[in-house]
Amino acid sequence: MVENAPEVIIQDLNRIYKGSDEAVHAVKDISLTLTPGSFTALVGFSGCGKTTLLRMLAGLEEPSSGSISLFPENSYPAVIFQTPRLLPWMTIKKNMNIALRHRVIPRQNKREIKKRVHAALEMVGLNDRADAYPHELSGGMAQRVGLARALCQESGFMLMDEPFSSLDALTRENLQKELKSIWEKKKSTTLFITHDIAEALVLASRILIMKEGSIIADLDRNDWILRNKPEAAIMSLMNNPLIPRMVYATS
Amino acid sequence: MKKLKWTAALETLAVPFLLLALWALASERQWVHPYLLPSPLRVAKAALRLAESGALFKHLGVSFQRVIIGFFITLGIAVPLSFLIHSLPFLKRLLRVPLEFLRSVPPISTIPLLILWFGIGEASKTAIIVMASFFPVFLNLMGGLNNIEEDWKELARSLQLDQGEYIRFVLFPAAFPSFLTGIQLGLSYCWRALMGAEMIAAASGLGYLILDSQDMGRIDRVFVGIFTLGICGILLDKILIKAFNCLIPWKDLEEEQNW
Ligand SMILES: Nc1ncnc2c1ncn2[C@@H]1O[C@H](COP(=O)(O)OP(=O)(O)OP(=O)(O)O)[C@@H](O)[C@H]1O
Ligand SMILES: [Mg+2]
Repeated sequence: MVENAPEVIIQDLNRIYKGSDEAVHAVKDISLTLTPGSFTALVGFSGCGKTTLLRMLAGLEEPSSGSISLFPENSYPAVIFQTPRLLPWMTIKKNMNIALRHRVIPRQNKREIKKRVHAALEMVGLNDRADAYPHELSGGMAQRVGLARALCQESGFMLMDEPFSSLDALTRENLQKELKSIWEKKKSTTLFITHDIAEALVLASRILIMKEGSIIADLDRNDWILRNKPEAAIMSLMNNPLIPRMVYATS
Repeated sequence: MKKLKWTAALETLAVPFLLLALWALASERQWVHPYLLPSPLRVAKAALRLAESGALFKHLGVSFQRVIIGFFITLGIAVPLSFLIHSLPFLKRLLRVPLEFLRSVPPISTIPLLILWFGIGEASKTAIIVMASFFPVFLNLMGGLNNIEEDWKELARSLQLDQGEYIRFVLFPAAFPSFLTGIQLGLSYCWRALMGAEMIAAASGLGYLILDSQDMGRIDRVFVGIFTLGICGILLDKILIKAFNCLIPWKDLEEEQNW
């Protein structure tokens, strides 16, 4: 069953953590719309609030104020967490299977589940480790399983938090290609967090730059600013001290 | 590799052998009256005779059977109760005082009452075992359930697992290692409590054998009983850890106890 890609509308979203010392305003007044079937990258320095935004979209964190609406409403995201989060007491295969319990209908369709798990593991090159336990994998392998688990859900809505951060350059490039071709086939509405500007440019058609809880720039891949030396342009946007208050507008 | 293993074995066995030698020397030189400290040889002979007549295994088997029955009753109460309290917080407030009270009462102190109520039949021993093993099992399982990592709860939510699937795939496996720790502790607690109970109110069992031997002036048999207890304890622990390591391959349990 292939779900429709939803439209995601975020309005005046805020998240404030009332910590032990000072309250942290992790997400500040964010309003934006992800169009159905769009691939959006979210970049920004560590601690700027990317994960917090994604967790609110995944329904794992309550906004302090503001709203998130999905159309159609019953869309359910497949999530890749910043750490792989594989259940340590289950083999890789079992970890993948339970992700499909509510994705494959009818639920007892064992053949379909098997097929999807196999295909997803094949894609990340880990089919021979299907019966291994998570602690027997390297960090990068575990991350690939996390990716496979999200992809096999075939959701129309994907939320990915730095899924390639601990992979070597070669594996990363291969998986970027795979992800891109899967997205081109399925056109899921995708939000992809990364530290890597080059990666954002390869994958996404839209790039959001986040700084201190706000979106300071909302760029289209075809924007003039990205035509030459895009990485330098983004870096200078991120480093510009004026920008947090002056939301960057693109035509 | 092999050589290392040998030296390790030598190291662990050196002290027991030394103590045995000291014991042999002490009884040989009669540093202690032979009635109070029979020689190792006499104890070994007594053990052999008790084993041959089948008395040793009979008493051991009786004690063992009591532990097994009592322990299953404990599991039958402690496991559902832990899950109930974990999912219904008001139950915790409701049962807090009675449970804390029971936990503070050493099981053995209830024996006079138990004898009055149940006589010296099996019921009193079973009750002792349940009382002694309940709290280690219950508290460890509760701890495991309550300390489940937030990460796993979130994962379950993001995979849309329903309550039953959450308990089966996430909650119980997460708490399982603590549960096994509870079983291990519970078994050793109820074994101890049972020995006390068998000395006071029983006509069979290892505790009875020990006390009865003392009454008959057979100190060598008392030693046999004590050694049987110690050796069985070590073996049981080894077996449990082996079994646990098979059950939870993702978590290497310590072979050594942290004393
Ligand atoms: N549960 C929490 N309690 C208190 N503060 C939090 C919590 N989670 C995040 N924060 C704070 O919110 C801010 C944003 O954190 P977030 O994890 O969203 O950053 P990030 O952009 O994902 O960083 P990174 O790139 O390092 O993953 C940080 O200052 C962090 O300390
Ligand atoms: Mg993050």
